[in-house]
Amino acid sequence: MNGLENISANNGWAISVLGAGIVFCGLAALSLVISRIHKILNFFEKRSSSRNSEVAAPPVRPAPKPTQTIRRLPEPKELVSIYRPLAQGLDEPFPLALLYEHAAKMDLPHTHISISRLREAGVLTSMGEGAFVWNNEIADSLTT
Amino acid sequence: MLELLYQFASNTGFFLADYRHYLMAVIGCVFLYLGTAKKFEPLLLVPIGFGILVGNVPFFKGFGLGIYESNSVLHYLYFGVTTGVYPSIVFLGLGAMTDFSSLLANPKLMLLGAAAQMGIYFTLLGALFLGFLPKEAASIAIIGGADGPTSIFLTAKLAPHLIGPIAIAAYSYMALIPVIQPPIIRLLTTRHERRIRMAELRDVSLKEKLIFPVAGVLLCCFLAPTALPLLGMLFLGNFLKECGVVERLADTARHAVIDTATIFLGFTVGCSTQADVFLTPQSLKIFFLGSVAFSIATASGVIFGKIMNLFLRSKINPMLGAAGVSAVPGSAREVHLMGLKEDPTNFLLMHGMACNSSGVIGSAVCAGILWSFFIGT
Repeated sequence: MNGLENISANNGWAISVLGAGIVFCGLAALSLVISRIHKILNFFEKRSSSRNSEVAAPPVRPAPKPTQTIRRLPEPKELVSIYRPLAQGLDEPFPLALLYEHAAKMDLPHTHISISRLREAGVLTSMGEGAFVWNNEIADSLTT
Repeated sequence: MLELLYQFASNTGFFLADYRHYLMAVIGCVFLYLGTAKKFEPLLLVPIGFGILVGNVPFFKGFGLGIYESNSVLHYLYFGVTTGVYPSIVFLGLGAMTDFSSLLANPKLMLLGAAAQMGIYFTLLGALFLGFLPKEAASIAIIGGADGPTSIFLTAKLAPHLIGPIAIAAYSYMALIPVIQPPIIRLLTTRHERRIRMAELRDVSLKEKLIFPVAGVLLCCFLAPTALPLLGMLFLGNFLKECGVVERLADTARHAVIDTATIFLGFTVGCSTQADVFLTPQSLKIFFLGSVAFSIATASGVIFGKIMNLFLRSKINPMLGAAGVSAVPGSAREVHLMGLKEDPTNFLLMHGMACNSSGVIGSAVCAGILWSFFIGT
């Protein structure tokens, strides 16, 4: 037996429709579950952190003075003196990402804004294709 | 002395061979060529190709040499195929290799993995139409999942006499992804659609990665318990990888264990293609149906991607639907390369891997569903 007769005789239509339906529903359910996981985790983490802060907070003690000073953004002159040794340690031309990486390793404040200011001031000059060089002339003019 | 010489000569392969053995030897060489020179899935095609050569050396039946003779060494190695042991071990290693982060970051891509399984059910109908028995039709249909171990696993359970042609068809089409998928994708998508950029993936926490294999195994295996030997091992391997406290086990699973299983799986599947059982009209039908299955799977993934775009605010690249077949990582790589051709700054690999890994889960669930339909029949 073959042809449509064989399909009908062996329940082929029902198996196909049901099988496709089941696998689709199963994966859709799994997709739904995994799309909720991070939201559920965030909810529990927020709850536990708020509980911890409630437990840890002394009821009558005044709020402690901030121990860490807010780090201000240095002036361009200071930026040049901070970033010059970093830039000179790199082979020119260098990608900005590498300079960011080095600055982050040194724990320098506001790396993105600082490098952006150096670019605006022309101290970091673009050579195209994401590569930059340190412009000593402009850097010196800023520091003197 | 002459009689002794004649006796020896009559036992050699040259004396016993007929055209079918030579034809199979040529096929084995083609596999080796594709694997080594063209680098089409070499990890699979090289052991299979060599297995085809070994399996088609003619010999006197009854010497305990052939893979189908119960006392032969090859037969014992083949035991891992017929019982479904090797596919399960391969899934363990696959789980230990797979990073589900991209899927967790964009779970809707899992629907593309589900859509690409439609090829399986269309092919089931096609195989029944061509006159195959229901269990044989189900085994042939699973080729549409484009997952070699899953195809072998289901065939071993439902139609063990078809393991050779089905495994060869499944692995051949997996290796031919760069030939089969691009024309179908191009036919079904516009240039504008192929250039769609995907949103950047969010970071996925370790907790999410740990919860996923647990939720996955419970949900999928409660739905289709017959998929347990595959999905149980897949998610175990993934948990070993993500939990971070059994790095040695994860490392062994993703290297030594999966490599050993792949060698024996490929080699014995190749050996099982003995000319007298492989070169039949039935095998040709299976190859034809396999190509249909793979093409429909690719097309249904792409079409579903386009349908999803009708409802989504942030559009997805419909080419990713083609990666919903579970040929890891071949189809994701192909989609990525096609994306780069259209726009050199559009990187789709990680998104493709998300669809690919959901395809692996989907085809294993399909195998479980088909097996459960035919249990006891």
